Amino acid sequence: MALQTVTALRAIGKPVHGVALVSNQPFSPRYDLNRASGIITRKGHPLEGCSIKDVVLICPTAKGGVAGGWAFIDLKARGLAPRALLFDVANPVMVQGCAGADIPIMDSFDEPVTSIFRTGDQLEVDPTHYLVRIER
Amino acid sequence: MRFTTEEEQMLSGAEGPAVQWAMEVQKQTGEFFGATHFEPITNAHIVVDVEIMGAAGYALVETFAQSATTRFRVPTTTNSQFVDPAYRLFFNQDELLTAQQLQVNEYLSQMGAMIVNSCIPYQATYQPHFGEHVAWGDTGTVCYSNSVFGSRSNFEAGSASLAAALTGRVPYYGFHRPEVRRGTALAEVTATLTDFADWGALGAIIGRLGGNYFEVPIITGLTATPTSDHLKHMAAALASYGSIAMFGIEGLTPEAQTLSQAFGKQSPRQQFTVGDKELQAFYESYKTQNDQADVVVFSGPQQSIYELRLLAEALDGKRIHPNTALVITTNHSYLQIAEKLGYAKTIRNAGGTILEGTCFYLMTLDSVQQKHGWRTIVTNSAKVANIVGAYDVEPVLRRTHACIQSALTGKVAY
Repeated sequence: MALQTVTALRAIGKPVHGVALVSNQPFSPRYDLNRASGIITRKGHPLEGCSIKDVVLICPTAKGGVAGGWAFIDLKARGLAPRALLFDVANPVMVQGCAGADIPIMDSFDEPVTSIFRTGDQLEVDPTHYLVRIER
Repeated sequence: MRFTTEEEQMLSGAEGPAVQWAMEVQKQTGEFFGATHFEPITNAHIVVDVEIMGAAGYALVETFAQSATTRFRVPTTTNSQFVDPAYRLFFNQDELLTAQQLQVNEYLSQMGAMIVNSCIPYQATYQPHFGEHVAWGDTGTVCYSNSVFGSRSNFEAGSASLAAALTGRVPYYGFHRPEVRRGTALAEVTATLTDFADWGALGAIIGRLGGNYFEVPIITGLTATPTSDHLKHMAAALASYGSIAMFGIEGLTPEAQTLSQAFGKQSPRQQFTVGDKELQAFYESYKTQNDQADVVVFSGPQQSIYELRLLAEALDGKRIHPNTALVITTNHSYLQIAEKLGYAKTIRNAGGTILEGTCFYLMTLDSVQQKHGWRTIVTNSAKVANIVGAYDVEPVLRRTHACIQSALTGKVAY
């Protein structure tokens, strides 16, 4: 078991624990997700077939539309939301959506998120101190 | 962030729970992006669509509307919504959800919104001037107005656009700041662009290469002069494929009259060329297992009166194939003009369906599919081709003429 701590430049939200789910492709709840089930259904998406429920979802960036604002509020209310989102570069839609749904979000790490995190890592996400502790 | 006395009151709840909620969401967003203060806005374009907001979002709006004092502080219009109630049954859309949407629209009207249900406000409703700060909630509209008008908006997500309408301000970050609007990438375009689909494809290619929200691609080398509709398709695709909120075209857009103006003191972080080869490869990336055209779609963004005229002329005296549907979406005002000028009648006589106030990708496609079984969707909209990929369908991007031919013959044309 190894422990590592990484820092981000931007963050909001309360501390949470969760298991990492990492994509090397951008993510959008409108474009990629079956919002009824919380499962990523876009064909060819690296996380196709994976549920975002209760994971720490990690992607290089966000894509597309304004749906995220409402989508995260809806997913959170139905118990299907991720526990936190980590990006290289988040867009306003993701941040606004997370702020409205009380989901922690962080971006701008020292290295690309895909080289820091691996799917299955146990993460302690602490936006109040701009850091993530990784256990693998 | 620094707050005015009025803003502190709003944050404290003195102006009601709706404003307090809105300010809190905006404050957190501003803190994330390092905003120093709030900037007043003159206009909000909000996305309040029950298809995406779910029961929790519905309950939020309902709660806000229950207070008679909850009013939008700036002129506020609504974006496209998931249903044209007149065609709900034909498209197998949920009755309860439709009733909820109509109720939400009542709530929004009560709060002062104009229910225009348009994703092309920059063509049909309001054209903000250079430097004007607005809060717009459709990514294509933001990309178009930032770039073509030089107005200032970030992507305001559904709940955030509602928040901005309630507070009359936005946190000052991103594309409200002059320095963020400088070019970051240079795209030399040698491709021949003739059709709306070509401009959409260009936006898609640049969007994919561009990277992320804070990239501002500057386009050089264009020989064709685009119309508003060409730029509409490109802006929608840039936002859809790349989360891009602003572009420049050398010599055309107000902040890119020259490359040195566009880039300021910074050099492009990346440079690329988009030629005919790249354009063709993009079209070829949309393949279909069979050549049956189940539905042909002109939507995403809604069609302008010029696009409706073009479609009417192409369909005049013809009849679409019995195994193929033709679906066109526009807004209320353009549909009224199309009715008056006879375009709508011509399109309907050919077998086309014209919807108002919605956009194809919003239309709860799983329900539509249950009734109609459509798998192959032929469209001249790169944005539609991209978004419907979340469903079990095969999108095919084609130029407008090929889309019309597909509708007439029932086979995917090239």
